[in-house]
Amino acid sequence: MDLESALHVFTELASALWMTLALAAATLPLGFVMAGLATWARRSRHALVRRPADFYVLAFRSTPLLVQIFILYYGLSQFSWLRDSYAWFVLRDPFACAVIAMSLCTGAYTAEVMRGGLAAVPSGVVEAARALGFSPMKTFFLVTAPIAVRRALPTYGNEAVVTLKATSLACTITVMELTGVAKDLMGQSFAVIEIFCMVASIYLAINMILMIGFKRFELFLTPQYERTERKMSL
Amino acid sequence: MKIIGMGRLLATISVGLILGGSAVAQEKLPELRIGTDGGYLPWTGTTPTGDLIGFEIDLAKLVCERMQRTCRFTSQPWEGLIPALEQGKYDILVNGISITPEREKRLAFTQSYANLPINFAAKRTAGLNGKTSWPELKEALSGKILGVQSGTQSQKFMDNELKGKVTLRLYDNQDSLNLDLLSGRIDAALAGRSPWIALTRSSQGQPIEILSPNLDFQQFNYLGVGAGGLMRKDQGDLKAKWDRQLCALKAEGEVKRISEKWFGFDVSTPADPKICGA
Repeated sequence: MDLESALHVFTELASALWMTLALAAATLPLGFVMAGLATWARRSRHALVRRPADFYVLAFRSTPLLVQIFILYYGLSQFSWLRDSYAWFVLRDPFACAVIAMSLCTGAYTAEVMRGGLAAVPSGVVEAARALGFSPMKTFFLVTAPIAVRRALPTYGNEAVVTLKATSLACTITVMELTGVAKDLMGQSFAVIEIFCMVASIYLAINMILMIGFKRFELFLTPQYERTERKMSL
Repeated sequence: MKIIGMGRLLATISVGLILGGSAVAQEKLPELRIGTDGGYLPWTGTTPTGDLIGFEIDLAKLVCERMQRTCRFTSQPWEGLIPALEQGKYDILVNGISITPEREKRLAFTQSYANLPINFAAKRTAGLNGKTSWPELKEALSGKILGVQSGTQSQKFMDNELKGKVTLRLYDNQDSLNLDLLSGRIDAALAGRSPWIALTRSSQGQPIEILSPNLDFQQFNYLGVGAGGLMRKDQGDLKAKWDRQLCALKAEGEVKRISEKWFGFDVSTPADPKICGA
């Protein structure tokens, strides 16, 4: 590939980067809310609330994201009653479909991350808070949540990285993000390996920044007495 | 008697030796490995039992037969075909690949053997049909959401004629494009004439109609000269042999015959005078 076409490819990819970031920026908070709701429901005393949430997490963790995207986008559009309903205003838009499908998927995984974090809170600490007269609400926000967040953060950072990479599947439903634009460029010039390498290095750069951000946040949340040499390294 | 007998025997032996020798020489020529993605009928497709079929498969088989070479056809997804060719895992790719100057910078094409007019298609209810010229249709399409398969000549047409005037959606394959055209996510779509014929003949494709006018390659010469077989640049010898057979098959009307079998009409291109001579 000569310098001119390399520059052309690079500018095209750089403009597609915004679509990838927009997908991730819309998906991660929505997925977090879904996960919060699911976690709350799964800890409920009522089976009627707990069971559907359990099923949601099971179903979305056990099926490939690509299949979920296809069912939501191409599958639902087969029903004419759905195309005539108000839901079609959202479902006819590929970007909205991609965000909904990916949020549901990452929500299910994040619910598992949250469950793990909460399970790691020592029961003695909670009991102590209750014995000191903290209300259940206060116990959760002042004692349980801070410990759980610190335990779950490394795993959640991992989930965020996975989600960012999963945005590449959006190109299968015509959302032209990084991978979609790369495929288009490959079809024009046939420079498959060169363009894939460029795309890989862009993903690497974004994810490195994301990982450093999470590491910093983790360090910020770690109390002074727990900070070790190794944790300080990044 | 005896002498004649000896002579016959010698003659038989020598003929046998010559035949045997040439047979050995033929066996020594390695088989040609032909790559295709097998998911783009009527160009190249796969039967439910896994056999490759289509216009290009039939044509390539005929070329192999004429060259007296054994050919092995393998299918794999389109994205992997080009790197595999470059690494020498295939000798030639046949996949309805359009010849463009940009692609010729990197790889070599045989002469073109087929060129397909392209058409827009839309729902009958959209009322887009019946335009007599491209400027008239272009006017009707502006502001609409249009779909096209990426990497095709149709996409190039969209980029050249409608960029900025319409919302363009790119699809991986024709099937997804059909689904979104049927669901109404896109107002109209552009593709070669053959997939639209297949769609409008199917039961689910009844709401769809092919829009006039035909957009042919004489009118829009940047669409190129058609599709050819793809090779590496270091395969000049194979390219010359393949091209020579194509010249012959075009002259005999074989390309036209295979085209009519698969497309229902003639998509063959005339012999390239630079390669086949006048």
